[in-house]
Amino acid sequence: MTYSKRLKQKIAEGLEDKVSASVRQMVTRVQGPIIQEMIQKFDRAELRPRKEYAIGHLAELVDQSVARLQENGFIVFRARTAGEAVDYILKLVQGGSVVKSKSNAVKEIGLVDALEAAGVTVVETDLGDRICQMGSIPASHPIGPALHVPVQKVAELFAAETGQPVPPVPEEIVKVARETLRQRFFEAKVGLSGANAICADTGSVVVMENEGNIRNVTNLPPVHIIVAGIEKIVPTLEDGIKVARVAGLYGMGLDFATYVSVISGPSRTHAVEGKVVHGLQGPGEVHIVLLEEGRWEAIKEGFAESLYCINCGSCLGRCPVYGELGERYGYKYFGGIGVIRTAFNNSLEKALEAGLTLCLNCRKCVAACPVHINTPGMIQRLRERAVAEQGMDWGRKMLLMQLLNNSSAIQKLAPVVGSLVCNRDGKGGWYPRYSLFGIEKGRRLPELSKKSFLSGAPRQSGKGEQKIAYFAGCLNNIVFPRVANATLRVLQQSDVQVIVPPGQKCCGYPSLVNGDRDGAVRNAIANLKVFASTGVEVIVTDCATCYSSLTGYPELLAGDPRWAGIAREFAGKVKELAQYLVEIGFQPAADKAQRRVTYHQPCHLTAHGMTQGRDLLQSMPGLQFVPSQLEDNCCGFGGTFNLDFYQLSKTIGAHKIQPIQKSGAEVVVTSCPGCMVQLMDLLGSAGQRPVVMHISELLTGGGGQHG
Amino acid sequence: MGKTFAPPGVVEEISARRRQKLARYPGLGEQYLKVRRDALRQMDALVEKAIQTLRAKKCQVHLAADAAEARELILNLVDAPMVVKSRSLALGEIGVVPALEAKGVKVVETALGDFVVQLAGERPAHPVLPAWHISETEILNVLKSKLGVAGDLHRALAGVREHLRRYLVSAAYGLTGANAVVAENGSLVIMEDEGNARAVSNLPHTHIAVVGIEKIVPDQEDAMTVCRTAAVYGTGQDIGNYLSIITGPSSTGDIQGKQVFGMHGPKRVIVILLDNGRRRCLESGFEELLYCNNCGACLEVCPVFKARGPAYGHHYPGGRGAAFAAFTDGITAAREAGLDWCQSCGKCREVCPAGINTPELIKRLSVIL
Repeated sequence: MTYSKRLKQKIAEGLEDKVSASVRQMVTRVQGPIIQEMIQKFDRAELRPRKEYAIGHLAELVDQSVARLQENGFIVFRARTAGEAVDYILKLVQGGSVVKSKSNAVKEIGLVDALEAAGVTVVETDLGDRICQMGSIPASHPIGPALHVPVQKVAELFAAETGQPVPPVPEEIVKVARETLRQRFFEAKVGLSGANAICADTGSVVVMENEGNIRNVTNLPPVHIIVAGIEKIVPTLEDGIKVARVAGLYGMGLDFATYVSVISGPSRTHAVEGKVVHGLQGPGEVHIVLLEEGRWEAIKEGFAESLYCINCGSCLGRCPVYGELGERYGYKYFGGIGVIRTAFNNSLEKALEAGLTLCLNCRKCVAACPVHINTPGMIQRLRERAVAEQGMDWGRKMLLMQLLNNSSAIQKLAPVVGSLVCNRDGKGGWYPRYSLFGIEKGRRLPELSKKSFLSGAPRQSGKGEQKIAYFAGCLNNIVFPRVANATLRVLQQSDVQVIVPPGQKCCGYPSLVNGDRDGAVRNAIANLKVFASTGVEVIVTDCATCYSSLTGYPELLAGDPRWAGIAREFAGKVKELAQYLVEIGFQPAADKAQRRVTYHQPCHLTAHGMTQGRDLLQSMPGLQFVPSQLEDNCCGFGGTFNLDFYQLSKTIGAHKIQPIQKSGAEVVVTSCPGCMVQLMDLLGSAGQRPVVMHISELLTGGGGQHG
Repeated sequence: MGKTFAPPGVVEEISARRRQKLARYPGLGEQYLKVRRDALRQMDALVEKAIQTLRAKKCQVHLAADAAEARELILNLVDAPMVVKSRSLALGEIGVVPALEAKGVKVVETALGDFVVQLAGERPAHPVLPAWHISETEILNVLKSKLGVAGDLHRALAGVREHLRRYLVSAAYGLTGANAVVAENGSLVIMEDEGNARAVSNLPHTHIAVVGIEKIVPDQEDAMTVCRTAAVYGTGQDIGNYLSIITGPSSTGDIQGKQVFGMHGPKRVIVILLDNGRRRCLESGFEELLYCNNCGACLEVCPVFKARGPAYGHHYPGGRGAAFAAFTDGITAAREAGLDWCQSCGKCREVCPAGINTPELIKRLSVIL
C-alpha cells in the first residue's frame, strides 16, 4: 500500500471515530478558555530564548549533562538510535514487572512492546492509561486517554482486576485503583519514566504530574530507568522549572502542576560519618537513556526549531485536523509538529504517511505554542523535499501552473469545460458529475466566471491625488470578478486612483504550500516586477491569504540578493482591504436593508493579529452585527487542502457553520475568497441561510450570493 | 557514645565538596541573600498571598501564632496510632513529637540519621547530619540490637529500608517541614537526599507540613535559589537529591473528567504556617536571624559548637539558634541555649551564605535583654 493510500485509510477511520473526536472537542471546549485565562495571568514569555539557547548549544550541553549526571551517580547511556535504547533496557530488565508512567520517549522507541515480547509485565500507573491498558481500549486524548470510557465500564475493569464488586462511582473507583496499584509499585523491580527536562548545571531530571504516580514510579522500585530525548536538556535548574511551569500552563491550564519532582541521582544518605550510601527509601540505581535518534539531523538540516517542543499539547487543542483525526494525525508524536519529528526520527516517507500533506496552514498552532514554533513553515519545507523526491502529479501541476496562474488560454477554456462536466443549481453553484483534478464528484463549487476579472478590468479608475494599486488574486480573478469589482467601487469612494496592473500573477501561495517553492518564487518575482513599475505607495488586496503570502515575500526571497530588498519594500506597501479602509478613516454607508450580519475571521488575518474587517462591520450604521461563536475557527478550506481531503475539510467546516447558523444572521461576511468558496459549499448544502458575502460586496450594498 | 561531635574527616570532606560547588555558582550567596531580604521585607503580603494560593490549590491552611497552637492543631488532627515523619526543624521547634508520643501515638522518623538518633535515644547534633556524632560502628551496633538487622553497612541499611517501608505503607499521616513555600503558586518545596520525604508526603492519605513564615518566597525560581544554596553550603551538592514541589493534594480527572482527590498521593494536604516569634524578630530589628537556611556551614567552624555540640543551641543549633530561641521561647531559653558562650570569633559569618553576623546579633540581644 502506498503512503497516500495508508493516509487516506487513516483519515477515513478518523472521520468514523466520532467518540474520540467528541472527547477531544469537549476537552478543547471546556479547557480551552480556562487555559487561555491562565496563560493571560501567568505566562512570562520566558521559554523561547532558553530553548533557542539550549538547542543552539546542544552538543556542549549534552557533554555537560552527561558529566554532571554521572557525578551525581546516574548511569548514563547515550543511545544513537531507538534500537540501541531498547537493547540497553532489555538487558537491564530481566523478567518481573515494571511500573511505568507516561512518556513520549518510551513510546517513541516502542519499548513497551519490546519488554512485553521479552516476558516483562509492564503496568501503566497513570489512571487513564491504566484503564486503557486493562480494557485494551485505544486512548482518545493525550492527557485524558480514557475520558471516553463510561464509568460503568471502568468499574467493571477494576472489579475484574480485584475480584470484588466496585461501584460505578469515580471516588470509589479511585480508592480501589490506589490500593491495587500500590501493590504493583511495591512488587515492581523497575520504575520506568520519561523526563520533562534535564538540567545540565545540576545534573537533574525534572518530571511533572498531578496524580503522584510518577513520584511512586521514581521512588519505590529499587531501579529507576529514565528515557529522554536530548532535546529535553536545558542549561539550568531554573530553566527546568520553567519548562515544567510552561508545560502545566499550556497543557493543562495550571499555573503549576500538582507535583514537580527534581531528581538528581539515586537515593543517597550522608548520615553515616558523612559517607555517601545509595538506595535508602528511593532507588539505589538510576539509569538515564539519552536518545539522540534524528535530533542531530534535524538540527543540521535547519529544523532545530522542531526541538523546542516541550510536548505540552497546546497546539493539538487548536489544530482543526487533529480535532477530527486525533492521534491518526502524526505517528509517535502528534499533530503537525509530530509529523516533522517523524521526518527526522523515522523517514520522510513515514512523515507523509503521518500526514505531511494534512496541515491547513491555519497557523493556529503557532499562536497556541508557548515557544511559537513555526510548524506550518517547517511542514512547507518538508513538502518541498517530498516533491523534490517524489514529484508532483500532473493534475496538480495543471491546476497550479495554468488555471491559477493566469494563463489566459486555460482560463478561457476552463468555464466551458466546467459547464460541460457540471450540473448547475441556478444559484451560481456547480456540481461536478465526475471527479476531476481531485475535485470530488457531487460537491458544490462556485461557477467559474466566463470572463476573468483581469481580462476586462479597468487599468485605472477613480479620481484623486493618491494612486494605489489593487492585487486581485486568482480566486477573485477566475471565480469572483464581482468581488474584485466591488472592491474597486469601495476604493473609488475614497478619492483615490486605483491601478490594476496587468500581468499580475497568483500570489504563489498554492505553489508554496504544495511544495513547489520554485513556482512560488517565480510568481513572487513576476509580481514584484509588475508592481514596481506602478510607483504606488499602497498595494491593496482583498484576499486574506494573498495578504499573508504577499507580506511573506521578504522571507521567501531572503536568500536572493537581487530581490530581497525589493521584496521588503513591496511587502511594506501591502495592505489588506479593511486594514487600508480603517487606516484612511473610511466611513461605511448605512446598510439600507438593515440586515443581520455575522463575520467569519479568516485564519490568515488572525495570524497577523488583524481584525479590521470585523471592526468595520460593527461600525456600519443600520447593520445589526450578530457575533457568532468560534468566529476565528478555521473553515477548513485550506487552499488545495479541500481538494485533497474533501470529507475532512467538510467535517472541519461543519463545526464552523453551526454557530454561524445559530447566530441567526442573514449574511455571513468574510475577507477571503477562499473561505467564501468553502462557506458557500457548506451552507449551500445545509440550506439557504445565511448568504455568503465578501466584505466589499456588503460595503457596496450588494446582495451577495446564496450559500 | 558521642564524645566528639564529628568523626574525623567528615568536616574536611564536606568543606572540600562545598568549595568545588561554590566555584560553579559564583555569587550564589548574594543571590540567596537578595531573595531572603526581598521576601522578608514583604512578609505580611507574602503570608497573605500564600494562604490564598494554598487554599486555592485545595490545601487546608492554618496560621499558627505560636508553637502551642501548631502543636494542638496536629494533636487534634491525628486520630491514628502511628505517624511517619521526615526531617524538619520546624517540627522540632513546636515539640510535636513528644506531644504525640505522650498521647500514645508512635512517631516514626524516616530519615536515616534521625532514625538512628531516635533508636539510640540521642539528640540530633546537626541540622543536616543529625547523627554525625555517632560512628559507623556504633550505628551498626544500634541497628543490630534494636532492629535485629546485621551485616555490613549496605545490608544493614537495606534492612532499615524494609523496616521503614512497613510504616510508610500503613501510616495515615505523614509529617514534614518544607524548605520553601512559593506564594505565587501555593507550592511546598521539600528537599532531601534519601527519598523518605517523598514517601512521607506521597504514601499516607494526609500530609501535614509545618513551615516557618520566613520560608515563604515569591516564586519558583526563588525557591530554587533557596534550595541550591542549602545544598551547596550544607552538604556540598549542586542540589539535594530530591526536590518535591507539591501544589495541592493528588488528583485525577481521568474518569469522565470528574476531579477526584487522593489518586496516588494524599487526599488531604494540611499546611501550618508558623509564626512563633518570627514577626517579632523581624519587627524588633533582628531580620538577619531569619536569613538562616539551616545549612549548618557555621557549625563546622564554630569553636563553641565543636566543644559543646548540640548543647549549644535550642531548637536550632549553634549561636544563631541560641539567639533565635529568645524569640521563640524567651530569654531564659536563650541563655540556657548558650547565648553567652559566643566567643565573637566571627568565623560563622565568613562561611554563612547570607553573611549573618551572629556575634553582633548576640551582642545586641544581650544589651536589650
